[in-house]
Amino acid sequence: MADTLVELIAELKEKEVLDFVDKAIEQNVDPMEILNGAREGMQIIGDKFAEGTYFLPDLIYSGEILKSVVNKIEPLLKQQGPVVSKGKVVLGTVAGDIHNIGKDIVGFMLDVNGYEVHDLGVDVSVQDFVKKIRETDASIVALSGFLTLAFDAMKATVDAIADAGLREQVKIMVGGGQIDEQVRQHTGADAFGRDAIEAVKLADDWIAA
Amino acid sequence: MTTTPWEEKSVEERRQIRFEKWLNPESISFASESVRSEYQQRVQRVIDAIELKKTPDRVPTLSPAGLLPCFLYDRSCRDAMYDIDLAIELWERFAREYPADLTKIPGTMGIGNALEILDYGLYKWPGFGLPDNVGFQATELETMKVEDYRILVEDPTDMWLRRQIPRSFGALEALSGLPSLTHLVEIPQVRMLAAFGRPEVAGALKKLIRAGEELLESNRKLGVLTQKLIGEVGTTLSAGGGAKAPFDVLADTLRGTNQMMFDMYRHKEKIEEAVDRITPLQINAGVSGVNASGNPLVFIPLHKGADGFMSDEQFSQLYWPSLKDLIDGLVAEGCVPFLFAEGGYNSRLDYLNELANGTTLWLFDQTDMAEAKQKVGKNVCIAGNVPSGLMITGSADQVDDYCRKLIDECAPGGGYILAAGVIIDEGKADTTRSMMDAAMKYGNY
Repeated sequence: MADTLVELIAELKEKEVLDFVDKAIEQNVDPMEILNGAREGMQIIGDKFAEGTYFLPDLIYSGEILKSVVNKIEPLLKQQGPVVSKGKVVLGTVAGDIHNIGKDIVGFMLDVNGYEVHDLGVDVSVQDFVKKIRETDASIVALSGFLTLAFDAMKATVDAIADAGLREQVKIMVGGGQIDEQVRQHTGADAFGRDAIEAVKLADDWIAA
Repeated sequence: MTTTPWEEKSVEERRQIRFEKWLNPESISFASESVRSEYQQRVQRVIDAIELKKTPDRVPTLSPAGLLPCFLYDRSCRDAMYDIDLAIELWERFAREYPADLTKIPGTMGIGNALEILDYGLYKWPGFGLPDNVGFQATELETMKVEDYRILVEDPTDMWLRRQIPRSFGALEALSGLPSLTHLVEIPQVRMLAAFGRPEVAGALKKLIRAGEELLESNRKLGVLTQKLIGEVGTTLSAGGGAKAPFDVLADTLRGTNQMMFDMYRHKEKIEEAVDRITPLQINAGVSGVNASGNPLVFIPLHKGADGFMSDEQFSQLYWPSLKDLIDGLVAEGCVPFLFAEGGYNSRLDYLNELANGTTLWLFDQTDMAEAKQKVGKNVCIAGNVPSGLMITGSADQVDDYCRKLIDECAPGGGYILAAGVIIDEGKADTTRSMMDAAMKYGNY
């Protein structure tokens, strides 16, 4: 049964997925089993994206489907304990930039891959990044920016994290429209990624190290 | 001179008439014969690159100016956004100090007051929801609901007038209460115009008039700048008109990116119908700009069809057919579509070979230029792609090196214009100089 859900999610069959979940809930299937099936489907979607058979709309649409699934099972899940996460990530679009689409996909993919994501939103000040890192004791920071103005805002954020004495505690990744290795060096971040799947891979490598 | 009416002229004849007008603009008085000749040389250089019939005298250049003039001359973007005289002063100075064959005017600057009067919600800009030193940014507002697809197809003007515009402009919200104007057919329906007397509608119209007066003056000043750039500086503008890929009109202007991506799964047929309805509207938009300016270049910024933004199957079904119709429609009118492929276009290059030879110009951002040259360089003129990262954070030597390699790869045989991959905002004087000089140093044929 879970296999069917995995497959339906991986094939982005929204209506069939939701019908399936409704039926499963009716039959008192363990909500964790549903959630795990959905996550497994998401892994396949991630793999297909990495290998170039799935694209941005597939990722965003899968996020929409997953959201509906979670909405349905959330009331049932609340009775269960919290899930152990792989690590904590502080995420946000840097000061001056209000673009959220890329950042949201990165947050969503990190989340379904087992990270506890603290998403600060867009146009995030350096102080707010520093405050959140302190508060959560996160080990990964992900800075997003679509415009070239983000180059300096990212650098300022990395500098502020260092000034706050937190640089040794965190690994920092940057990403977005015009970010490349040249810009990565300018910002002082540890790595840059071209898409959400690369973000997950970077985080996994850092956590494993 | 032939006197055949426009409708009976061939596409080639139409294009040549437009090129002739571009080379000899009627409304411009040149400061001297040498400025006229410099202007004509620049235009001819660009025409030669586009037509692919012969190599130009050297590689033409496209101005990298986004907000660069503000940053180079240390004025805030907010000030330029609200003061057209300042914007004009900065852009004119930039055009004189960093001469390019294709030059930019501050088309989106100096309109802050009008945008505020209208309470435009589709964007935020420096001084309104954004810090002072950044560019305008889209808010991804959903200005057309999914149930409005039908109205878009039946009557796009009604969709815009009573839905898209009231939802985009806070000050014009009351226009949503107007009746459909096509109901006005006979004396009995005249009564429906009572809607214009409602205080909220009258208030919206008053604001529209105020914004219109602001823009009229701003446009007049931009017109004077254009005359100067052509008649005194001897350069031409990088666009005479503008249009958008029909899919991008839906995604950027009407539905918002996220909603559009859901529509690609839930309402594919609606998208197909809608883009076909939008295509002729965008052809008209491009042609009317060209008719008014005398410059045949129609700038078309491409957004949602880039590498990774959709599958090849989605591109071939939902994005490309209407974009190709738009390009073909503009070419048929003698215009030159100037497409800006932001992001990567590596996976879409083969499509460009479906276009008529020597009729379009493609500016690439992160596309592999050597591959572009090899795959489509014999069919379309290519331009690009000095990275913004290099221009903003690199050294003059690095930029020089990058441009030399670019010219080596892309210039042979003509059909190449040196340009930055995207417009440059927070740039530097030395890297900008280095890029503009590279065409003179390495670009002579």
